[in-house]
Amino acid sequence: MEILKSFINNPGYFILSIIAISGALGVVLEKNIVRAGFSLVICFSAVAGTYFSLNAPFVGASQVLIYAVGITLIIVFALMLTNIKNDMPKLKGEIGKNILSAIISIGIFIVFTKALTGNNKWFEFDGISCPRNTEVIGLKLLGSYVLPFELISVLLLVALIGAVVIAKKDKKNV
Amino acid sequence: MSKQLFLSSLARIFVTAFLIAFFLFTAVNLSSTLERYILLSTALFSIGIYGLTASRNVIRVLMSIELLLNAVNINLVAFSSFVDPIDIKGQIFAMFVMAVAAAEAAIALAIILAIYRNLSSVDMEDFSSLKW
Repeated sequence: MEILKSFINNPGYFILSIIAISGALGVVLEKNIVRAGFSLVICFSAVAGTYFSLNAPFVGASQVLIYAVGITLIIVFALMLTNIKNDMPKLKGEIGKNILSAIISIGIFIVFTKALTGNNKWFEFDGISCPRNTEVIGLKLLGSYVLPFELISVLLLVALIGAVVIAKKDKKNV
Repeated sequence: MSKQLFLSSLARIFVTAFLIAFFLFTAVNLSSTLERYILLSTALFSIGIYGLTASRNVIRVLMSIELLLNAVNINLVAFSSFVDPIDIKGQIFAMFVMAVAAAEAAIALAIILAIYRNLSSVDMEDFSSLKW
């Protein structure tokens, strides 16, 4: 009853979070690595929907462009260039390692949830949203945040050149 | 072999359903919408931590790092739209996180390709040349 009531109050959140968590679990648990890459697309698209529901349309559109298309494309290229069809052989202590990792991650989840459900008061403005969201982001990026903005462009250039240099074939040693 | 495959996929479906039910049970007990979004971020972060520590394929580790960055972004955007809706600092931080994530993914792909060319393997257990 309680579950149904909160579901009716905010159905978008529940649907999007179920899709996002299923996609993330697919990334982690799926044996076939190509299927894991495609469930990453599902997870990123649901997260983009979450941004739209949080009144952040510009961040949501960037999420679709950068994550759901760009980074996933890079990862699919990595999958195709490192051709690994055969499964890795099972090691001896692998199941114990997996169980230890599961205990660690569920412990992190429970600790954070305990911190969340404590008696804390957020400074919450209900119902107020920034009407000209994208305009504010653009003015801020070229206003008070102009130095990190330019530094990011330098960082992207350095990353591009560095990626080309690292991945280039060394002609002397061949 | 096929029966074993069926059993393992059945086990994975059960684990997924159990974890989603656990998440929904926790989300229903929370009162405000901001706390629910932070809970979604926490769940994605924990799944990313599991993938980071448990998986042996290095590309899956790369995907798990992207999941972690996504969880942080959800947190930033949720706080910016509920706590600071007038000048939205959290969304600008989320944009910077996305740009750094794109650079990181490109560099990681280059490093993976360089290692794969030398070792012809993507297993984390083989990448032990930095061990001492």
